[in-house]
Amino acid sequence: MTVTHPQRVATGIAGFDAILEGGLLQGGVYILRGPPGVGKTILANQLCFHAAAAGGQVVYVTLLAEAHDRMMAHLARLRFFRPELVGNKVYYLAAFRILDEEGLDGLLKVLRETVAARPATMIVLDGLMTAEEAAASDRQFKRFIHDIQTLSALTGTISILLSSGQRTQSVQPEHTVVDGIIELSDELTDMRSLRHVQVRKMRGADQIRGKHLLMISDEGITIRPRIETRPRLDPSPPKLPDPSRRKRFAVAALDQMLGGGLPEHSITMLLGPTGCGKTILGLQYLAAGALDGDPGLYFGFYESPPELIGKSTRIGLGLEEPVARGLVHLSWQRPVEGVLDVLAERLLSQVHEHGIKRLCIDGLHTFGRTIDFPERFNEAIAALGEELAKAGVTTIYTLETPELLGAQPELPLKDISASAQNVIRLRHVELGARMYRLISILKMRDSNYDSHIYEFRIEEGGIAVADTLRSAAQILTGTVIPETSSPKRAAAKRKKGRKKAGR
Amino acid sequence: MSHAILIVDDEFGLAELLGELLRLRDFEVTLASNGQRGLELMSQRRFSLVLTDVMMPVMDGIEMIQRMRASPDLAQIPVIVMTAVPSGITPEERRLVQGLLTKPFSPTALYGLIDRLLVGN
Repeated sequence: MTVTHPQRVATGIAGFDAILEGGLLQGGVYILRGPPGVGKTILANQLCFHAAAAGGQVVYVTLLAEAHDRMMAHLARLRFFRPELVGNKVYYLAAFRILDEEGLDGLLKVLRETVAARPATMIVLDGLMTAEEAAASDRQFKRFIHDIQTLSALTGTISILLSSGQRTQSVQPEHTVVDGIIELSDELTDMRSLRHVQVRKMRGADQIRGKHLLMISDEGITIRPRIETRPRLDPSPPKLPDPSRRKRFAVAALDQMLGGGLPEHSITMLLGPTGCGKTILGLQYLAAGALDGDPGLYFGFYESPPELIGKSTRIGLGLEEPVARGLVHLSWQRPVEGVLDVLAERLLSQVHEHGIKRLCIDGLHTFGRTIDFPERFNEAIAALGEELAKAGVTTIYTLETPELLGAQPELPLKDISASAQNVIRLRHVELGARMYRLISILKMRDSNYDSHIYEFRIEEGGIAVADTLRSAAQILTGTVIPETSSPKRAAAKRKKGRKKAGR
Repeated sequence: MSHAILIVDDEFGLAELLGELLRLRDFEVTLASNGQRGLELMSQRRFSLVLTDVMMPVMDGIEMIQRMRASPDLAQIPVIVMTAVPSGITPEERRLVQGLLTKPFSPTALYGLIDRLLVGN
């Protein structure tokens, strides 16, 4: 015997459908619960207008004393709201008085009559708590939910029951009966308030569990599955780092330290304190990529594109021309109001749109500050890295370390270095009333590299890394003022280095 | 005069709901919880139409229909079968009934089929 499974009906909210494994079940009964103001009414109305726009008929029954015109006034500013569908495909029914006068039986009768009069594809019952208060007992209320379920199953109507869900009871009788429980919440992280959606129960689906970001804008509601769940949504394997193919910096001594450059598709962490040259090195990486025809993306938080171009011009990195012809893209994100999942989606969308091969995320720490739950960060960054590797990107993250001078680097994010195959450290050293910069490679997974420490300088004309250990040894031991401190000599070395690198 | 319809379904909530939907259209409705009980009720009074589920305890819907067709008194009563699994009905069984509703179905589809069968009768 062939058993037919109920069809899934898309909600029209892409992220929600992804979480629900395709949508809501035809004939299913769902509780949508959450505190007042969290977005239940907007979400339910958005689902209704999507169903109506797809050709269905929906009935929105309110059990609240609030008048429909007030709700309409709020909904009218949202883009999904289509006034021409109201009364034609979307019917609003105020049943507060019926419930008050005739109880649950009266309400059920109205629902049956409504469905009999017009074959609804979706019914929303807004105010489940009011219905519960009208029930003489838990048993009667459970029976009421069961009757709605019978009606839905018979007619294939999707029923959505909205509840402000403020009861303290952890297992509520109606929850055992319904096909799904969708919970909306509003959490305060630091000073930010962020909304989330969590599918707590979903019969017939392997939903993506846990909390996902929910945002309300003029478009209505958008839902973004946590970035960590992307590998499940797209299980294709990431491209593994390929040490036989390298992405050079076009700085001869640095490329030599790296065994030719960064392994293709790898992730590199560029560690160092403020002002040590992380951003410049990131821009140098993108400029070198432009020489090799690699589309590049700078994704940063503090410096705007004009500031970055100004920096490139002053130092002579040569980014202006590839930026002007659209080979390198500079993407600036305001550091104050972003949310990691939104930023990650924007980043990935830019990567795919421009076919990016080289990426510099400047300010991983700032990126991390945008996350809603800090304990997610390492998994989120690992998942982002996997998505970037799938897209064939070779990535640099810069990460600011708190120490300003010398000594051992202190990682501001616990265990984060595990998410990168390569770690390059930059640091300042103070000597003879001058600041020097040193560079070293802390790790390169499955690849040979030069583990010595070298001096490097940022000057007019670009980045120069000393081609001997001598200057770094002198700086670190404090013995002699290093020979590369002469600008003329450094410039000569850089010129030689560029020639070697084929610039 | 309103038509009398017998609903045979072991799921009480569903039978009750169907009854409500049919009463809204002024039909006189009687409920039975299995095929055997349905036959008992049919022997007591005349129904214009039978609406039945397939899988039920004591006596299933198919056996009830086969007995109806073998009985001179009941053979002419039109029967509508409701099932979520239409492929479970064989062509021979399908020939014994006048209508098949695949669950889920809309009240409109139910009313349309009943009207067609009762007008035809």
